[in-house]
Amino acid sequence: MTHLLIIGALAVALAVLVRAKLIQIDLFFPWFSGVLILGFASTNPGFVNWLGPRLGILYPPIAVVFLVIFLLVGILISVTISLTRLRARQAEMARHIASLELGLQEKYGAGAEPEPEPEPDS
Amino acid sequence: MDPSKSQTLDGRVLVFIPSLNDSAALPGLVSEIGRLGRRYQVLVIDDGSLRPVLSEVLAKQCLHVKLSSNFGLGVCTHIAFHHALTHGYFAVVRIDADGQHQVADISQLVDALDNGDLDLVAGVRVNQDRDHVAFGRRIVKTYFNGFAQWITQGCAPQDVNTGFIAANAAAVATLNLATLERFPEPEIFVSACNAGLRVGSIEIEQRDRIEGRSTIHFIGGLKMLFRFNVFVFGQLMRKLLP
Repeated sequence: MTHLLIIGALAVALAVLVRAKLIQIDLFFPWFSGVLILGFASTNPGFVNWLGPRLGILYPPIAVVFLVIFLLVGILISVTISLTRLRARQAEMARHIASLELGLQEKYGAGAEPEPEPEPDS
Repeated sequence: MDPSKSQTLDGRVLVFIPSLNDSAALPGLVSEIGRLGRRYQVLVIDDGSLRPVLSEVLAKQCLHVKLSSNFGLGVCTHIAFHHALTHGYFAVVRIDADGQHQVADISQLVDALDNGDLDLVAGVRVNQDRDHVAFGRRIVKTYFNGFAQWITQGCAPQDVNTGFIAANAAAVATLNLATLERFPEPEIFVSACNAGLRVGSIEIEQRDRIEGRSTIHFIGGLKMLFRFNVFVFGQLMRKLLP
């Protein structure tokens, strides 16, 4: 019963994190769902005994562990890819801002501030 | 060198100094480069230093930009290249901020470009083997130089890790199309050679750094090695599967 409670708590935690927009559903949903479904399924001895031989694993409970590791690696790779993309976009923005800043310095001279535009008459 | 070029804005040269927490040598570098003539415009790129590297007075004497965090030399190089292309500079020279390169050698690099025979010139360090260099670092450098020479059929310079480089507008435009990352020097030379640019070198004496230490530590070195191998693999694939 305890293991079902743990898996249920994980499922609720996932739902709360998605609702709070702390987890991007497009990116992680398939992986997390896989972990949870596997968690529920692995409480059934029939499923575990069915899975082990199909993966060529002599001790069936280990098959579930391997599958969980596989899903966790999937999550890790997804996170790394998204972080890499974010970093690339951040670098692109930094380049763009630097280009604008240097363009102003080239136009007005290094250290000189551009004259503020006159305020419109009220 | 044509003496008129040092007095006019024609054939302007952007001398780009990337800096990560190196500030001690910058005042000397900026004023020394200023004395080379109006042809030379200094650009300091602060690659996310923890403290300001330029004083207010110094900031008025050169183009400068501070990045919000540390993006690496590749991004800094692209910023300098893009600026040079947008504002019609004749060439870009890169010099280190730690005072290891001698400003007097800049003219030699630019002279090699002025002659029109080369598009990219490297300042090859002749004293690096004479000085104390860690055994591991020496092996890695030999590996880099050997592979770069092999893959470019001898076109790459003998020292592909040098940070003292000059490139004319044609080379800058070509190299700016690549995506340069951290420690981009070997990629710059190999890409230039493979793009058919004319690459040459001059010999320079490298001085001891005025402050700080190399950013290439053990883990950094491994990352650099891994990145270079991935790059070489990509270049080989391109050659084998055109």
